Amino acid sequence: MRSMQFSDLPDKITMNQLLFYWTFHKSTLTLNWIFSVAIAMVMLSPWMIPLASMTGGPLISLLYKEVARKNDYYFYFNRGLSKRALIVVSLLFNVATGILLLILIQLWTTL
Amino acid sequence: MDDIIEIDSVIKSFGTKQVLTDIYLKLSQGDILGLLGRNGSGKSTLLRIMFGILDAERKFIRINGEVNDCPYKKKNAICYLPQHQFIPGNLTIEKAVELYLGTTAVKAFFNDEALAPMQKRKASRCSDGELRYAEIKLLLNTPAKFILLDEPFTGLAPIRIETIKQQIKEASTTKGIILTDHDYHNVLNIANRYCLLHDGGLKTIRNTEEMVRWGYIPEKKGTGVPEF
Repeated sequence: MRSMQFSDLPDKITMNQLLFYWTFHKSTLTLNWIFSVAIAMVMLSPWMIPLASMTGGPLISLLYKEVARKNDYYFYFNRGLSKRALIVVSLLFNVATGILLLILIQLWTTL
Repeated sequence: MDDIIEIDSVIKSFGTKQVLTDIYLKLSQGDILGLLGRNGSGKSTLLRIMFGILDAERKFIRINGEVNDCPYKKKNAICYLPQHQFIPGNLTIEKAVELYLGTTAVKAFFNDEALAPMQKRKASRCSDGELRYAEIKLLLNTPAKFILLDEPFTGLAPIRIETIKQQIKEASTTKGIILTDHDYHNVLNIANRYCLLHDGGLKTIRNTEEMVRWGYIPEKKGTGVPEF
């Protein structure tokens, strides 16, 4: 499998497609957050929540999907979304949420 | 002008076994093509290659004469019903319909005695047969020009099969449809063209004798095989 490239991002995302991307992203969140909170508790560091939610968390969620929920991808294929685009957009959502959380934790610890 | 999808020169192997050998298939608006074949003959493989999610050693796909390697990425071109449920278990059927057809279509979609009780239910809480029925109806109602149905009748009650057959017939006035199912009585009943995958090749079938000749059905008389 080739590595992720900028060309994996769709050229133009319609509102309906955005809803599909969001639906896919939401379906990866539960496992991602359970993993991230567990890691933070083990490491005794709140910083690990956003860090894990941008790295290992999505990886675990996507791996679970690949193994146990592979057929769900057809729901998105049928509306023209590729697996690669779904993964890239979901990772971007995770990075955005993670950065926001990092800022919030920074503010909280400095106040 | 009628929409046409063609798949040409398809070669696909799994390991050393060549499953599809130089296949050509053309599907036009109005076609209901029954794709028959024994287990492992490559029916699903062919449909997945045609849909664009499975690579092949060689393939050429054209939609209305234009080469397209990934038909599923083309807007409103093609939909595929896989053998197993595809609506994610965490979504309600209503949400899936909303996403696919828009909020305005929800009321009409659930104006169906089989679907009304499922409207607010999550896909994971529906029985296989209920979900199958909802998924087929969902795809038939999309604006896609071509619909590939992989074993649509599996798990459906006979009364639902009749409804689905009726809906497939209605949808075929604006779409080209391929269906494959081991319940070949129903396939023969509804399709207006028939093909059989045998030894990697695609044979056009015109009568029951040809199905017997290619070893798809037994020769024995009185098996209830409907005539063409």
